[in-house]
Amino acid sequence: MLSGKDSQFLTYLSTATDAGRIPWQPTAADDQFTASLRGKYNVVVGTSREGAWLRMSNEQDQVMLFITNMDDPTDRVERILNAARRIALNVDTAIDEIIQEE
Amino acid sequence: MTQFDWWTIVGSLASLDGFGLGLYVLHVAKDARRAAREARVLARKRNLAEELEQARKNIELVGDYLNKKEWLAVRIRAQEIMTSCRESLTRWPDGLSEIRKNDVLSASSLVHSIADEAAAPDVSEFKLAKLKRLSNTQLQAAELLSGALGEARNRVEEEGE
Repeated sequence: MLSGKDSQFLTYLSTATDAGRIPWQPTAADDQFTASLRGKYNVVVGTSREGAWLRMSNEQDQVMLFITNMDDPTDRVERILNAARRIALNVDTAIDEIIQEE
Repeated sequence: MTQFDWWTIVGSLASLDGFGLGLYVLHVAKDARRAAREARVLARKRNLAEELEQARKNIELVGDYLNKKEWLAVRIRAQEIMTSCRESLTRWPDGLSEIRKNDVLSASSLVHSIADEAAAPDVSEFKLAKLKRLSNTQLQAAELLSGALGEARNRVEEEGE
């Protein structure tokens, strides 16, 4: 069950990611991306059999928040994961490269 | 002199030797204790730049171990890097700019993902693409740590001037 703050956080992440303000990077794991915020927090988004998930930890590597897509009826975790993938893997640049006219 | 006197002399010499040896052992033990204490003080005095330098050296080693597919060594070094990153941020909270602190956090997260992959049950069957991704992640973490180390060194130099 999401708290109001958790929901606010998901909205912030989704909006900031769409606006390109979060520098997501690919990790060594399949379909998993990471970004750090405010010099104190780290967020990892990934996917498992149950769907997308998001984990936030602090500078001591303690897990502060773990949200799965099933916790959020509006699918924001899934959307954040998709947007993070686009940024981390430079999907738009790849598409531009493919479709550019010679 | 009687045989009894000889044994007394031998016994006295032996006990003197024992006493001398005891003093020597005590001296060595005190030296070792002092050296351990000095090492602890030195470790406490280790500054941010040195901590990050250690992390940078370890990330290079992770690169070597990835090439050699020495997965246990990868995990051990990764653990050390994560500890260094954590120490850097908690012991010197004002030691780096927000951007560089983000870099240290991200480096730690990337290294964490390398360690997780190195612990996978199918690690010996990793395909070339997977190994390449691990290597790229290691390089990315190395770059982030180098940036943070550069800033930490600059600050040390500025403070020294």
